[in-house]
Amino acid sequence: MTKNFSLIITPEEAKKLFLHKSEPIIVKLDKPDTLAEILVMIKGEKDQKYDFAITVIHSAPHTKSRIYVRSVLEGSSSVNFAGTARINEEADFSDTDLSHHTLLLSENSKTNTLPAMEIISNTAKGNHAATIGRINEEILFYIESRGINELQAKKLIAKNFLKADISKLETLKK
Amino acid sequence: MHSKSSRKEEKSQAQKINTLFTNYKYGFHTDTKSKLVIPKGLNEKIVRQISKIKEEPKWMTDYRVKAYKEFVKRPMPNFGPSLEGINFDDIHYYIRPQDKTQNKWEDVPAEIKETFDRLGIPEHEKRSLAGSGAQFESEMIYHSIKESLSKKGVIFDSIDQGLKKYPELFKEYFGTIVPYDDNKFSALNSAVWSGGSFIYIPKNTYVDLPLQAYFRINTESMGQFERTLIIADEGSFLHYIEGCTAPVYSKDSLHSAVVEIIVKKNAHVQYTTVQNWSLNVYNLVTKRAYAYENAEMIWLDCNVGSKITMKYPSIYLVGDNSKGEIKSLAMAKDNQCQDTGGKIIHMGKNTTSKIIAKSICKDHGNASYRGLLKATKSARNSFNYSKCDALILSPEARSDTIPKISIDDPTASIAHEASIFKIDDSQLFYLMSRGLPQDTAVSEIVNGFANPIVSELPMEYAIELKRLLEIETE
Repeated sequence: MTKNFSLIITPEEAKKLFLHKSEPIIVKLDKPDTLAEILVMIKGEKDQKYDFAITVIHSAPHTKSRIYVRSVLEGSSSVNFAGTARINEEADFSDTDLSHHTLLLSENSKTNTLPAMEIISNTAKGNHAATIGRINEEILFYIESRGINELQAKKLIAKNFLKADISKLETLKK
Repeated sequence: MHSKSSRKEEKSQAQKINTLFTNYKYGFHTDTKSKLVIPKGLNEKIVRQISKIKEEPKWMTDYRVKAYKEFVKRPMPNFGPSLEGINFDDIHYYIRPQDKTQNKWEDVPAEIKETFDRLGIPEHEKRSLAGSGAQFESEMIYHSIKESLSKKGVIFDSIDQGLKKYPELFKEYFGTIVPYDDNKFSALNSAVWSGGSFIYIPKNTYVDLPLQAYFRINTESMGQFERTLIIADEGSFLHYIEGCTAPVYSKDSLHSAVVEIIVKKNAHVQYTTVQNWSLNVYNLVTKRAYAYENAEMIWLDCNVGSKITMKYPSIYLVGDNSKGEIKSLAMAKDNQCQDTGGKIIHMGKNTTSKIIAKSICKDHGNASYRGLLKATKSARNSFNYSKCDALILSPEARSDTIPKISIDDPTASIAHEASIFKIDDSQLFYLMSRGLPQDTAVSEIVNGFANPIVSELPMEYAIELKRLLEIETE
């Protein structure tokens, strides 16, 4: 294995990087057998507007990319995210996975997601997923029934929601 | 029936129109005797001419002219496949093979009958399909409704007759779902539309057999600008099937349809399409439905033919508790481009929707999914599940997935997933070790992939489509 690449953007860094319109992050995988992992955690509050794009371009065989974005939105915050994975013809046996999960906590929070895939190789594999939802009442009830008040319980759920993808990072495992 | 004198009158009128245009040319592919041909190209005069031939009321003429102006003004779409191959000046915008829409099979001219025989139209009717509207070139020429349906008050007519016979109903709904200025091609259709179906299902009426229309392009460089308007009144039930086949020509042809559907309170409408245009047709279609309270709308869309297809059936879930479903199958081979998908907009409370899209691409084909999912602030508890799968069969093929998700409803629950993959060698090995030749094994896997959509089709279509997929993957 040659050089792998991993990038973890914490909520504080995201605030610095992605508030208002930001430059797109472009990752080019042009060496064979490389892995790129990007994890983004966003904690939106008040009237923050996150606007960012991540593009991964595979142009060498056996390359792998993983993009995990999670956002928890409060107040009237919003997220605009465009994630693109492109696997070129020469990138045989490459593999991409992109996800964006959003937890909406308030009445005025908004989200826009555009997860796109462009696959030009027939040996490639591609996946993307996006979910948008709110806190599950049953889970909330369960935690509350263990003696934790509602606000604390919600905080706990949101915190764990944001962190959920960290365990998936392969570069951290080694 | 037409009297002799009125026929003569029309004939002389036709001659007059033809002499109006000096560069008038016949460009037919078969020997069908089209009685009225307007020259290629489009201008305001031709738009007015079409309206005049159809003896339309003034508001419709004005509407067409307004739409034509919008069409000229609008730029070409800035997304999707290249449409540079379309030469708008090289297309016939209006032709009709007969003077009147007919109701009796015996009255249909032999040469046209032959074409329909090959398509199996009479058989379909024998098999108790409720009504059979067949489109040959621009207009409905064969149209019959079973008596039981007419008794129920169901209207199933060609759109031109709809305007003549039910002017008030027509004017109330025409252009309300897809306005003429929606996009460049809806403007073009609004300016030159002819042919298509007009359907009205009265309150609490259940149409238990699917209504069918068969479409066919038969004149070279002939654009089909079919327009369909379906109104399903409260508590009604309808399944409409549109199937397309066309012979192969050397020149490019344009098909730009508009379909508008109104699904009122508690009503249910399913619109099924099997699109198999020849490989030189540009198929640029605007399809949209409004679903009101408790209503349910289903688009089942299969695209196999055409050169370039751009089609995104949409559902506006306007009423509370309404439901929408889009099931889409696209197959692209050679240099085909299937840019398909769907749009769902949640506006009412407690609305649910589902999108299942499957695409297969082969050779240099490009099969893409382009979608929009939106929940407005007014929607509460909206729920969506969408799934897009793509199967790539050859190294040169290409598949794009571009789903846009825009959510303003904080109580929404949305899940989207997409995957792109190839045929697994182990699957292929398994089937071949059981004695299947490679070709058969591949087409079995493709059929298995497409099955969730194909199995939703009525039996004869499912068989037809399955066979088509087999041929395509050979």
